[in-house]
Amino acid sequence: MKFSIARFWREKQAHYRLKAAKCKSCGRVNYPPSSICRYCGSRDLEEIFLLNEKAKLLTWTIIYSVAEGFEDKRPRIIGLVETIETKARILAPITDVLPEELSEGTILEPVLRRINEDGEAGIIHYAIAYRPVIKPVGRKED
Amino acid sequence: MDRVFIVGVGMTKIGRFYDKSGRELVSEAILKALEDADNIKPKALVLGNMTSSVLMEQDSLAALAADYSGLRGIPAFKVEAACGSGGAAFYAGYSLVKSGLADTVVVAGVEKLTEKLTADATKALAQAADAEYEVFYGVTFTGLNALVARLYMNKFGYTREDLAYWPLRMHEYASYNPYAQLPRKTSLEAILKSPVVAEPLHLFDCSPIGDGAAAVVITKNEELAKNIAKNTGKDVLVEVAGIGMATDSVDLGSRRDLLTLESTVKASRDAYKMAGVSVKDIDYAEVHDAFHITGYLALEDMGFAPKGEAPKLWKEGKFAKGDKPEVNFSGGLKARGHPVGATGIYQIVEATMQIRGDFPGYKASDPVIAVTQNIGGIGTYSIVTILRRYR
Repeated sequence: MKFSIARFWREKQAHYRLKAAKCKSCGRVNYPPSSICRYCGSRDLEEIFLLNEKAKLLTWTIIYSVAEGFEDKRPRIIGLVETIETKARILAPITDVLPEELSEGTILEPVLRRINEDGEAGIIHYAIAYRPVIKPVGRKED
Repeated sequence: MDRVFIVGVGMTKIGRFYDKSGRELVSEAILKALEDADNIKPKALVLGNMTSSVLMEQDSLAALAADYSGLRGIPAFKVEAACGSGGAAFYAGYSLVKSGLADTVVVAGVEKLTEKLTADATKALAQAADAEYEVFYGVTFTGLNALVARLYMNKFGYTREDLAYWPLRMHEYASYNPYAQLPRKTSLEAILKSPVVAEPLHLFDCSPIGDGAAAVVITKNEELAKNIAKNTGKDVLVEVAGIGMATDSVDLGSRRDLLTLESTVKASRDAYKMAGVSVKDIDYAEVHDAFHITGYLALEDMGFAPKGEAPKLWKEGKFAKGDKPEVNFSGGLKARGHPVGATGIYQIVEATMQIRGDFPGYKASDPVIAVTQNIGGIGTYSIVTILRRYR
């Protein structure tokens, strides 16, 4: 067993629901969540979740020389996205898309995806990835 | 004011040394530095290293290095600041000397990256990033730099070819450096056609994986420094005129500006202020180009180029021989090599030798003031050191 089970149990709220901490003093959203605002130092923060927000793509990379444990997921697209309303920046896998379809500003939505697995018998990790917003077939956009 | 002098330097060639252990490499560098310092006995050892726990499966590294360098018994400890471990070790060693706790200190750096497979080294190096919120998703360290490179290219309108002039020149400089891992010239075509590692970064845009060690001996005893110089036939004394260190977030996402190494801005301004120099006074620089993009950002954030213009100026031939500052005549991390925790010490060794005039590679134009910039992560740590010719 290579992975720490306690660690991923502890991080569920952040990895599954994008738990973040909004500073009541400067208004910035801290993601990953923290007990002190990493921008202004205030200790007055409230818990928020970024799961219901769309995000825009700031930058991305297509990784061919992948890290250990991701050999069967090559190439891997990783993006840095910014949530539309709360302006939190999140690093996450970009999924359900061909690399050439991506561009700066692409609008994305969060989806739950398998990240990797700890061998045959170990834990399977899921977390939030982002995919381009799917336009419903046969319906015109307003 | 107590001045701190660099009285001895030593380094090993950088490469994939399957026949040499980490302790052999660091011992070689330390013994060379001590010999260059007239074989004085240092009072303490500070060692920069990042990955020994993981790749060498060895802690207690500084005591091991001391023992295998004939220094058993002296205070010794390891400093870890990712790729900035060497610079941070120098910062700690300088503090020991300045405080008077030890008047003569040897600061070394060592990294043994080829002990395991490249995938293992890649994983160990990724630990510079946020384990729980970045590395977890399968991003590599090259991948994180690629995110910055793409953003930079998009924002300032550069192509891959525009940025390729950095590795091109680094390879040329390294071809003169007997210590370099990649001492050979290359071509724009070879750089552009090299295999992709993490788009938009290709293999030749990145520093190589290699082993190496470097060491410097510092003292605040001016009389001793002068005697060492005399006894070892040197007519130039090099002093540490200023040093600055700063940190930024470990995760890339929460940076204030994704295209500025704010820790480098802070560390460099602190170092300039301490040395009483301005950007325009600096004759020579060794900057941290783990990737071409970090080299360009370093030039901008140290104040040598306006934001967004470093690649343009570089392509026009700025920062080459005869310019001010002259940059990375060692070949940089890109071609001299990047033995992680040793890199910051290599830079200080090279800048010292450029001032002394005995660097055995591409020679700078008789610099008086030199600067080194070593970073850990993508600017999570920055350590900037100013060296100056004393007499």
